[in-house]
Amino acid sequence: MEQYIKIKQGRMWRNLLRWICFISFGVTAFSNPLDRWNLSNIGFGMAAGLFFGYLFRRFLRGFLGLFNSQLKKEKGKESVFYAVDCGMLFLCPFAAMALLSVFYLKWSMTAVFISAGVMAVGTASALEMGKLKGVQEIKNTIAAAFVSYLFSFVWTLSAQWLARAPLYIEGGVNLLRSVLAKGGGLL
Amino acid sequence: MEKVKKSRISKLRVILGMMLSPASVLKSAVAEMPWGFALAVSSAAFCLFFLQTGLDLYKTGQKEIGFVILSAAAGAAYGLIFIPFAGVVVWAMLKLARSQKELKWVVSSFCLSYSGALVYGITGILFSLAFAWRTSVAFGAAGVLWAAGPMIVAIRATTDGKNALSIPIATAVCGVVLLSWSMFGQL
Repeated sequence: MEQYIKIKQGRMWRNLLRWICFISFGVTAFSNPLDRWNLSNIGFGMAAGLFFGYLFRRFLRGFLGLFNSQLKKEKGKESVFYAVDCGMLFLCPFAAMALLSVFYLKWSMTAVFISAGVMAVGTASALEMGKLKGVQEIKNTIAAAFVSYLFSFVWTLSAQWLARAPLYIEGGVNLLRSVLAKGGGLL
Repeated sequence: MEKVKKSRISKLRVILGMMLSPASVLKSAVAEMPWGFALAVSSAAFCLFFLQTGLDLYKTGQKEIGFVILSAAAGAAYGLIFIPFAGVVVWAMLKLARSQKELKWVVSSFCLSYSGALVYGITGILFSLAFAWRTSVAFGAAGVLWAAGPMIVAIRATTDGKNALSIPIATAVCGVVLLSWSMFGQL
């Protein structure tokens, strides 16, 4: 009962911080170096970051749940969710560093912050699982590290392709606006 | 006569352990490690990172060999002075929050967090010298960012696993390290 209360406590803050972290990653990854406050880039970055975060969380929960069926039976699947959500808090320092590097230091290299942050989440989630079970198990470390590595790799690869999307979105919006306002130059 | 056997912990095992599974090393080995070794790890890690940055600029003809030596010395000084100082500041802050950890343990764990950066640094310098690759970002920055994970684990251990205390401190420390690192790199 005591552990259940602990799991419930602070859920809103954990969710809020996680969303902020993934939004920060998305915004910094798709930031336009020539126009840091471009709304298309910021909007697309927020959406991409949240989507990536959603997938990463689902996969990490699923994988850790798969290897800890006994814990799920005894304490419910909420315990696995709690471990993953606590692990996700480890993203905060990396998100802060990514924001500082892009908006203050004007760097454009953010993939390393995201990769390092995602890998740290893997370590932290395995640690939290160990705390819940009372023993650190190598299978959790491997499972969490595998999912984290996979997502770090997927992000690094896909970000290069997706970086073009804000340009297309901006072009599409401009075209639509032009059509709506002036008939697209046809009238 | 009672013989007291002192267990000898392999320094190489501590370095690799801090890189891959910091929680277990922090629990078992950090207290046994001499100050000098921990300071040498962070100093050597930053020395190799800054040396790679200097070598990259030298290879592209932007800087002379004197700059390479100077940047390596600056890195060594940074790892020797700033990282232990950050550990002292965090220890003082957590002392107010009634942390039981000793100063030596906190400083050693901060310095040993850069074990991963040292491994990356050694690998990077080998590739830089043997194949003339530019390695400061791929090996140098990645290694230093890797250190954030073990550092967060160390802060968490110092606060007895309290996320509400450890995450803000870790975020502030990582931000300060990033800013000081960028300022030091511009000298």
